[in-house]
Amino acid sequence: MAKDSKKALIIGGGIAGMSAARELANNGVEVTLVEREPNIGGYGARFCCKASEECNKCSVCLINYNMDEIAAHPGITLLANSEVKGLTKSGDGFEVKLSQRPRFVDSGKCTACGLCTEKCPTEPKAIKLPQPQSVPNSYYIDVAKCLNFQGKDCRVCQEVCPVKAVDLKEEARESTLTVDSVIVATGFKPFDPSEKRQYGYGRMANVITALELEEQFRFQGKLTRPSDGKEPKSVAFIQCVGSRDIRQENSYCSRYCCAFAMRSARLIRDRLPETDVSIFYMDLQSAGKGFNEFYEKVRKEVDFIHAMPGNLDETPTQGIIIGYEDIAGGKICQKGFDLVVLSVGITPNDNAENLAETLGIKAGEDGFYQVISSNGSLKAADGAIFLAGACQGPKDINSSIAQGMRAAEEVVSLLTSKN
Amino acid sequence: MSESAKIGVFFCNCGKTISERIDIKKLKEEVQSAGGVQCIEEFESLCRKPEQEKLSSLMKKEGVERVVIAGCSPKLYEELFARTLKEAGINPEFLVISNIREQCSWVFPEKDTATRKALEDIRQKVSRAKSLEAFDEVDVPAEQKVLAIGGGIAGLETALELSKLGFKVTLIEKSSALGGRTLKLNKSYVIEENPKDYVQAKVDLVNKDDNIEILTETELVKLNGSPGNFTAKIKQSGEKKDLNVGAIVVATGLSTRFPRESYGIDLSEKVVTQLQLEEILASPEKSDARFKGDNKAHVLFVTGMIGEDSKLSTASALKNALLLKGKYDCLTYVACQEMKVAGDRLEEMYRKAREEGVIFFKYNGNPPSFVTNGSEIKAVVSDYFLSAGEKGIPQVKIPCDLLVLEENLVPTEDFAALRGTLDIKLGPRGFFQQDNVHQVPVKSNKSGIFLVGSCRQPMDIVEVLADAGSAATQIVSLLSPGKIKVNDNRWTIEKGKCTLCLTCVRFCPHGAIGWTRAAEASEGLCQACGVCASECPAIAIQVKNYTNDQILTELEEILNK
Repeated sequence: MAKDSKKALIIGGGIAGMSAARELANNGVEVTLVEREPNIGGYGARFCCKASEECNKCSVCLINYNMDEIAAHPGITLLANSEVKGLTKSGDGFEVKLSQRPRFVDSGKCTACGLCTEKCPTEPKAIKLPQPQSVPNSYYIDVAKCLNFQGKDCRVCQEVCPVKAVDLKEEARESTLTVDSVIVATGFKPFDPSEKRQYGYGRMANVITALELEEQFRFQGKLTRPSDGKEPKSVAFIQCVGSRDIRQENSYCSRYCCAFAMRSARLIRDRLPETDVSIFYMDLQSAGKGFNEFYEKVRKEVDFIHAMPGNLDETPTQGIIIGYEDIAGGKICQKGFDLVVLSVGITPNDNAENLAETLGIKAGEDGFYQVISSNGSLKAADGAIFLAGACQGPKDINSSIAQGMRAAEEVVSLLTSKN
Repeated sequence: MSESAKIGVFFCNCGKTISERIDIKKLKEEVQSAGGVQCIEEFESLCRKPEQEKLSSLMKKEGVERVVIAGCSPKLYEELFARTLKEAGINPEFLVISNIREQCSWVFPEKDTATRKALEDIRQKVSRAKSLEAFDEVDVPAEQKVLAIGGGIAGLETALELSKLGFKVTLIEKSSALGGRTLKLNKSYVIEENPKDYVQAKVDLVNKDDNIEILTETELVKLNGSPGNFTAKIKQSGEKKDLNVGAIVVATGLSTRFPRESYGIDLSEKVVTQLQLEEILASPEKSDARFKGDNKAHVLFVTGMIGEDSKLSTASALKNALLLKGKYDCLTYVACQEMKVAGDRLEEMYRKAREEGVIFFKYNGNPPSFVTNGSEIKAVVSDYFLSAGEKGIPQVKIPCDLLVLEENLVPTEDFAALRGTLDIKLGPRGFFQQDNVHQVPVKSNKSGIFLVGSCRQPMDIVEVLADAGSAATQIVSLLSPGKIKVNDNRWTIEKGKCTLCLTCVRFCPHGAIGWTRAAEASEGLCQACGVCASECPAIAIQVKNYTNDQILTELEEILNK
């Protein structure tokens, strides 16, 4: 790299943004990583390892690995709880307006000892870690739950904190930053399955989403039925919920879900050997190298049903009844399950449109950001703005990493050639 | 062993989470009375900057040479503390962390138990600190030059990117021309431009680029050395020469094979592979002659019968079915096991194809069969969704003017030889195996050798470009500092004990061990994983600071209370 170092802004601290940040920083670019949430890692930070008796290559461990690397990297400045408010061209680069919401806990001081949560009088707790193994490893205050922000005179956390990290008077901070290049890696939002009423999500306690399954395994270490906390004896996965679906205007394949269901099915069969697992599907999508060999293994443990369910009903005795067409038998069938997991699709992020306007980039018909040419470059606008990860279209972890690295390479290449 | 070195033990209270649940005062006294430790100090939270500065100046003042930090998991702040040691002028190799938080204070509810375990752990770590040996990092100059093997899109793109980033590249290609398999394609589904023009443009750029030397009809015959300093022997029309390069890019692509045994039918005028169809379509004369006319041609695409799991064949069938439908109004059919649409634009193409009248069969485990009668070919195809209960699955006979069959994507013939020369690993299907399937997919198991494009797994053009980009950045971060840090003498062998059984050579996951009179490791390739040391039947190999003696001493320290 050049003698005087170059600067890059990365918007989004999910796996694509983290991969780009790491590559750039390793190549001597000064990186500022902006994350909207109080912790980085994105949805991936809430996924679980899907190893059964062997590694099933879900790649989730990489997200943790990357989070630790970002936290320790001297070349990366991490701004959590922050958003980009404005972007203007300035010379070859940009001037960026950033806004950081108060966390009320100084993450430079917090040792994550947990005393504040222990003493916090509200239930659920108002001061907490965003999640276990959070990066930054620092607590924050949820204003909506905190008594102090409801006019009460409670300062328990501030008083007990042994390192004086809590500051209930902290205010939002605005700042500007000059950078040479921007990588947009704002990720996705899982499809909200309550829009598909026939699948009963929200009405039936034992219908959960893919993300809820991931969180159960990650944070509780086991899988239970939400209705009674018991282990399910039978689990069904329904694929393509909100993907490949013109009625939901999501006419694309979300790419991660077939492999997700198959890996999770193996995990369930490993943890709960008595539990039967079925997968309802349309077409099974390959997930990288060695997929067929993997599929053959899963087929021995799991019932694949080539049909999309028509409707779900809840009964007190038989659990959730799934109605579907047994195509080979030529008749309508019903089957009961203790737990139903909806493999929800990937949809554009909530504020994708607003951010597109702020940054001067374009979203396609499906709402995902678009590159400006079809020559393989990830450039999203004239000037040095690039895309990476699921904000550009549905992707699994590996493809997001690959694209993050490609975006970083384009930035390095552009910044180097300018000298 | 250095029994006389000055040892410092530093406790971190971590707010109060350690000090409230472990009796630090008792620990300090016990460590003091056990002797051999010259400096003991307690800190509030060592991960904070002011405290680190305090630690740093204390270590300098007391002349501490080895450091034990008793605090949180090494996973969290080992790197940070290593930097603090460096600032204080201490070799970071002399840092040992005792995890008394996650493994003691957080897991034992009784203060006594937690304190006892913490003490045992610290004693072990102090004994380790005493036994540590210094070894230095030495700088090996890194050649600012790269050898790229393969002149297809992967090799071309990587060379261009590297050239832009200021590196010299020698691009070798075994055939007489650059461009590779992409030149045979008529159309790509991921890029709009004609693939032939696209790759030709890259070839032109490479030809004009002063940083890139092109050698066609050239092969790699031997490779020695380590990252930064490889010596590659190449052979061009019988003439051998040596190249000094810092890194190697393997971009040899893939090849196709028609699996006659799976289809039971021979290739002919009417039966072609997907690649052959591309070649027909790429020539307007050939394709006009075949498909233009009053009689609409029946064209059937078959995928999913031969155990390939890539989306590429579905993409190719969709793309060409649409093209034949649109341009020649052919009657087009696609028979598939699964519709593989997990790729850019594929679902959109699938929908469009159905709208335009391409007929799809999903045979779901009942693959088509083919009946030939003279020059006539009929395919018998079933469809799962047409099946109707007891009547079974109905079959449809399609007369085929053209039958387009998916071929197997296989490693090129010279893979085995190249694998031997490079000494890197192959995966289960014979493609080159990336080091870690996930993290940096372009890294091979041998440091300094990178895998780009379809030589590691079949991929489309855009994916190849992403690979090329990743490899280029990896190479830049490896070579651009101009030197590579290598551990000096970390790996040792007692030559008298080595019987040349070569167990270590076979077990080394990084291809780092060779031999002359005894086994020898390349310091540049060795990652100090210790596999060789634990496998060596003669106990001839030791990795410094993890020698058998050191580990045994540590264990004894725990067991002899």
